[in-house]
Amino acid sequence: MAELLVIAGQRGGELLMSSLEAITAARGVKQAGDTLAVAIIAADPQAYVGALSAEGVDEVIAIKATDDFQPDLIEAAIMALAGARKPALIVTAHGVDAWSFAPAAAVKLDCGLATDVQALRREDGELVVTRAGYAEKVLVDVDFPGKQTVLLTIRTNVFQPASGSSAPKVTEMVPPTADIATTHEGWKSPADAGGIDISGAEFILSIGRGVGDESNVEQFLQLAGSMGATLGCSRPIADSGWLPKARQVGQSGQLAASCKLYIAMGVSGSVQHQWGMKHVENIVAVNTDPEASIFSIARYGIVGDMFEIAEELENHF
Amino acid sequence: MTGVARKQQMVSLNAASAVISRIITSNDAYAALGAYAHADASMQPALEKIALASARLRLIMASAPFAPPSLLDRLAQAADLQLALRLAKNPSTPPEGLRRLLRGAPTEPVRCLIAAHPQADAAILSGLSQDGAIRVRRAVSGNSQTPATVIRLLAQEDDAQIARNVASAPQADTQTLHRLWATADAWVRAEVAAHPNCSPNILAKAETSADPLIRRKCAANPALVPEVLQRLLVDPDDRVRAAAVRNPVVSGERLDQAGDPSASVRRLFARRSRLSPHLLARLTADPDVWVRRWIARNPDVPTRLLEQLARDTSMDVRRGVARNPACPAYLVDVLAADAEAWVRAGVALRPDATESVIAQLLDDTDRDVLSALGRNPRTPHANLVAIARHPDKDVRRSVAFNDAAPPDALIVLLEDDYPLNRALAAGCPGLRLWQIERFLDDPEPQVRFAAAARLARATLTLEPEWRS
Repeated sequence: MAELLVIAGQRGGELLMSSLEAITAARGVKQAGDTLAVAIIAADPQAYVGALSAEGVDEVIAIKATDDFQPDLIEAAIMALAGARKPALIVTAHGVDAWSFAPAAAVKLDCGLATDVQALRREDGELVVTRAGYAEKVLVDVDFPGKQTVLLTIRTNVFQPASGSSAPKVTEMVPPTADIATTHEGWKSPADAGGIDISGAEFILSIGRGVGDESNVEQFLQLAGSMGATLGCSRPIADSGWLPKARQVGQSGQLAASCKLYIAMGVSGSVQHQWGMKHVENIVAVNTDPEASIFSIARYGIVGDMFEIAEELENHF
Repeated sequence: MTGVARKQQMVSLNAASAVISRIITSNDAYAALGAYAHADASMQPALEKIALASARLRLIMASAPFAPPSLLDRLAQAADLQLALRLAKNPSTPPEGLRRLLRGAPTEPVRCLIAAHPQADAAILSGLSQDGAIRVRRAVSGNSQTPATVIRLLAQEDDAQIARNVASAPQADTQTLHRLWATADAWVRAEVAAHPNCSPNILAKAETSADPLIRRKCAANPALVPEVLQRLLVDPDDRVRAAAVRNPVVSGERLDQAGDPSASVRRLFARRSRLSPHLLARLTADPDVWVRRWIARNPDVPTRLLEQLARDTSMDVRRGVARNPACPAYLVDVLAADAEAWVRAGVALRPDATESVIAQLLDDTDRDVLSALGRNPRTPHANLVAIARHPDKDVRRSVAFNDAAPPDALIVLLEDDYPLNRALAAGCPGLRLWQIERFLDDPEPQVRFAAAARLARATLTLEPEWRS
């Protein structure tokens, strides 16, 4: 019998969808007799109880404090909860928020830590998680021998958000005293993407310099539309103003976080572009240069003219 | 040479020498690489010594497509297997470097790479066409530089991949294509039907073939006579009609099938130039939004139809009008106030945008609009400085692509936290050279490379700053 603890998050009074994904991740390794608790820090934590009462949740811990992002407060809450409850597992969403409290809490607790986790399972009753290593080139299985508590940050958009309903016990917790070293200046919304969702798209058709001219871009927008794909692009295309920046994939653009199929046409595959897409399981590269770097990460490669391939594809959709 | 010219040359050489000496003193491989192509022959050995100082650097340089061909040729002179692989893959390796690699009896993978190399010349390809390894000969057959004589010989091989490559080789002659038409499978015959050197005899058979793939490829052949194309424009298969509309030989004036039942074919009509006024009007009112998107970009569309398209309910159609070079100023004004940022961004990119339009758009907060203004040579200098200070690094970078950007704005960008923005700024012609020099010590290799290349190029082309 063990306790599993999820640290949920909110932004500006709105529950982060990644909190429900963290519940799904924890629920996946919950065993008979285990309890799953979800903690939320907010100005009005009771307002989140309904949304967090997903299937498998046994308890919601409401910590009434602030809607501001205070990493020191979250770290102190984890410390307090871990000290009082000795959970076997603590799960929270991976991202810039978690970077500022999860590793620090793990060090102070002397517990196991794995970040950006993509999968969890039990092997002989022991927790084993999978994360990427060597800049996403390999998948690494991590276990935690001898650790009573393990803290995981889970990659977003990998686990389905928890659904269903339950009637969890609601526990109010006094916020712990924290040595607040940061000031919350306010929330800044990301730039309006005009309905373009590269990070949520499962199928992306992406174009690069090979497209040559602005007048040719329309052809690939049309092709992407007929194939049911979201059109993405490399940096030079967005820099030229030929496509909105919201469509840019890569280091200074978007991460193709949910993508299952990525067709790269006329994309050479710079390191910066690969940062946004090389984790995708199925990459199809089309390039006239057989030595283009994109082929080194592609599952399927076509050495050919992107316009000819596009015309052939148009004949099939 | 006049006395003034001689004096200018001396000044230039002295300045170049000072810059190269500065780069040599820094002992930085990337700066040396940036300066190498622009440096005097007497200075290149010292730069070469720095750029190729270690085995690791030699491997990096051999793979770098931005490395100067002469340096790659130098590397080819003593290339081991690892270096040879990288040089054979590098599209910048010159023919002489490839020949050096071949003289070193390279492995089959290296020979394959050389056979497919875009800089392999006729002599190299001719030699490799005799190679014992079929993979090498296949690579030769797929190289667009391979001469007709070699293609003809390779076509006699009993190999499906070589047959496919030969059928689409630009230099394949009529005789070779005729042989393939008679012996190869349907896919190869389709490629033959698309080849400009294909004989009229074969084209006549392809035009009436029962196989729509062969008719489609035939319809794409730029050597087709107008009468045949006209028949293919009414082919029952819409993919064949689409290929015929795409064919550059078809004159827009001869197209009159705006009522084509297939929207995908009508979209291709809308992309053609010199369409009749009647056809332009019908396409402008087409129910398919993609037809209207294409026609909105067509520079032949008259103003009264552009007005209609500028009021289209689809934002993408209005964006098309905003990007149409024929869009009149009064419509540009209207579109500058469009509710959709992407339409306004299209206006902001226009090099003919008026002062009032630019001023109106400068109040915008959308990053695509601001980035477009950052690139626009008509944006006032003070506003470019402000854009170079924008919180969004992608917006800031746009100033580096503006040929009219003043030094004040570029200096802001040179201090940017984002290395790519510094590297792009360092290569801008609008900057004074003394402002760039200190970036030879930048922590980012790409910035040092850009700064060194810019400095070395400037000194050798005698930019005004070096004359005083």
